[in-house]
Amino acid sequence: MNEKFKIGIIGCGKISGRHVEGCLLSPNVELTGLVDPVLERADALARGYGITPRVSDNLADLIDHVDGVVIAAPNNLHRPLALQCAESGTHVLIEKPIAGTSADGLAICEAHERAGTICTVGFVTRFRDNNRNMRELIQNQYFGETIEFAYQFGSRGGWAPLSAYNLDKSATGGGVLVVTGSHFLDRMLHWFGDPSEQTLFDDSLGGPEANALATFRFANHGLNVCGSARFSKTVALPAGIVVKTEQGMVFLADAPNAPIRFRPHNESIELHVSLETETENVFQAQIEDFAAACRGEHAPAVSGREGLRSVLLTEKLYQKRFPLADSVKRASLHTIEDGVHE
Amino acid sequence: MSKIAVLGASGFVGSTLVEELIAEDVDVRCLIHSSGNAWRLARHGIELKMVDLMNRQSVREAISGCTHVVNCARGKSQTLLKGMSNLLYACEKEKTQRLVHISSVAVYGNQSDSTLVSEDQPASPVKDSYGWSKLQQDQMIARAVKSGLSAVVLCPPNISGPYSLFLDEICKAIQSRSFAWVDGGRFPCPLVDVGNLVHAIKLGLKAEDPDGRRVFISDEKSACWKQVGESLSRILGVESNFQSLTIEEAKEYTQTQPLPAGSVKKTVAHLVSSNVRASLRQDPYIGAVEKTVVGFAKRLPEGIQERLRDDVRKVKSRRNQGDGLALRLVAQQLRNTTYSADRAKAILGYHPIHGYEESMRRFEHFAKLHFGLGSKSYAMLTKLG
Repeated sequence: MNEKFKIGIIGCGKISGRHVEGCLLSPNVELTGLVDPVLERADALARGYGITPRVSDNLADLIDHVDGVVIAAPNNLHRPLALQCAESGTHVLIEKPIAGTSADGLAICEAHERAGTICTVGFVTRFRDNNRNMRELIQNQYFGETIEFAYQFGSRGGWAPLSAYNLDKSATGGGVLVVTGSHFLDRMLHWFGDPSEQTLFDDSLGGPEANALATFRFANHGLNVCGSARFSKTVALPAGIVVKTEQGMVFLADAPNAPIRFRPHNESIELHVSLETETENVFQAQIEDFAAACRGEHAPAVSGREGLRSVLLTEKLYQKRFPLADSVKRASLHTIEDGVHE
Repeated sequence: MSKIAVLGASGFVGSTLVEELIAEDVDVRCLIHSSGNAWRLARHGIELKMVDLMNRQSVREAISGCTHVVNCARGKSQTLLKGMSNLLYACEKEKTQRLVHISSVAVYGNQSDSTLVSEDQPASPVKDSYGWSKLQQDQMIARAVKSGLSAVVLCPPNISGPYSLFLDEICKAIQSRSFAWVDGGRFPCPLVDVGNLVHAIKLGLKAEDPDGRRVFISDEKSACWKQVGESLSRILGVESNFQSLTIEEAKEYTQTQPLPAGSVKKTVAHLVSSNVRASLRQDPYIGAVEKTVVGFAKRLPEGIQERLRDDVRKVKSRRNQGDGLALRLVAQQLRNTTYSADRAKAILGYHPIHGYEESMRRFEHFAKLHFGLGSKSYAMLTKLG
């Protein structure tokens, strides 16, 4: 227990810097290796933080020197890398989503289950205290039964991975729904369970969609909730969720320490639920959760199987997709089946 | 057989141009600086080629094999200037048949009370401003034209239509109640629909013997700010009863650092705990509504009351988002300037294909698609703050 948990990071693109910071902040882990097929990227990452881990362009060089690895490579590479780790008995924290396809995700889960190693998925927003508390408040019906919700997240472009794989549908497994939307889909599943119906409107014309509107209905386990989630890579949309409950409206902006706000129906006041603790660094929290899970202290916050759920939902959405223009047509006809539009 | 290279293909104008060209089955090469902003194009499943404008060889390779080049690239001053130098070098070496460059009315600086600016008006941007960099670009092209380059330089005002960042800026100001008219909104708001600009680019690609001088591209008739404010308010479904500043007030406002308005509290943060209530009472507004707040809180289940007592760390009062006016939009109104497209009509055969009303309809349709305007979820999310 005194010995630090040795971590390696596979893939030294943009997100890797956050993982390095998480490791450096944690007293419980030690970053011992960096791997990237472009060795200069791994070197640059190490130099950027003034650290001297083992650096290689080959995972095999690292695997005997770590207890667990963070896989931060393009989505289509998660499977071969995670399977190689399972074969060598190495635990994995895989950047979200677990894989670009559910088949790959399932193979990863099964390989690590067979190996008896931990496989967890990097849905880092799960570690925000406001999201954890929002889930508890919603699930315990503090504000009454949930009736519907609306979520959005949009930016004009933004995140540009060094490898530019973000625009390669075969590498990511999709467009904005995967690249941007997977965080919310994971949280939504965590809060409300699996939807009984889902529909997708998007603007793909052969490539990865830049705009997506997903609608859901949850009619299981006593729930009767409908909701929508809009994601964009072409327009800025203030990120957050609004939940309508029996008693009022609950608001939570998609930011690390945003307060949960509640506006009761027919009242002109607003309650702010701010919490005693503030999330310090979610990447630190995530890496410590991973290390503790590997040491058998508790189950990981997001297991591989848990992470697989959002990939399965994404595939269901892509199977039932309509052109984005149809969302407006349906709204204007007042016939949308899920009731999300007026 | 012509092939068109579009630099800055992932930007607002570049993307619109490329989408029209591929719909017309034109052979086009999309040149982008970064994958982050290229989603609008990527959704078509077309090839996107990275180019580094600061690298002469990269630019030359990027346009190699293309007969025509359209430059929609933007960036910081250094990128604009070095990039243009590299582009002109590449055009010369690759024997480019036509360069169409997007300039800006910003090259004329903050003209005021010039009710009809012509292209020949002296350009006087502030040194090192965006307009100054664009002017340097125009002058570099003019020199290259003297050396044999065939070029068209288009000079648009604010660009409207689908994906318009300018209209989006006004919409956000309207929604945050920071939009104000100057003198009742009577001044012109010169616009060009992005479809009209793209139409002009395509005319520029095939114009005969262009002289490389700036050409204004604007809509047929200039709208006034009142008209634009009312149109966007209607689209957003809000009242258009905006504050109106006198010209003197607007001048004073734009010349001084805007100060946030006083303590206007539209919403009240609240705790159940008594010690915080005591501090809240010191605020007269909060004190007045405290009774209501506490009354409501007492009706909450005991569990949540306890939870709030335990969990709530601090009280925040929120400032009204409408504090302060959209300075840039006020300053733009003071320009009181329109730009004649007569030269574009004479030289390029340009005639705008979208009128004002149609342009606004196009923006409205875009907003419905991308923001969900008019939907129930949009109505819910506007309260997100």
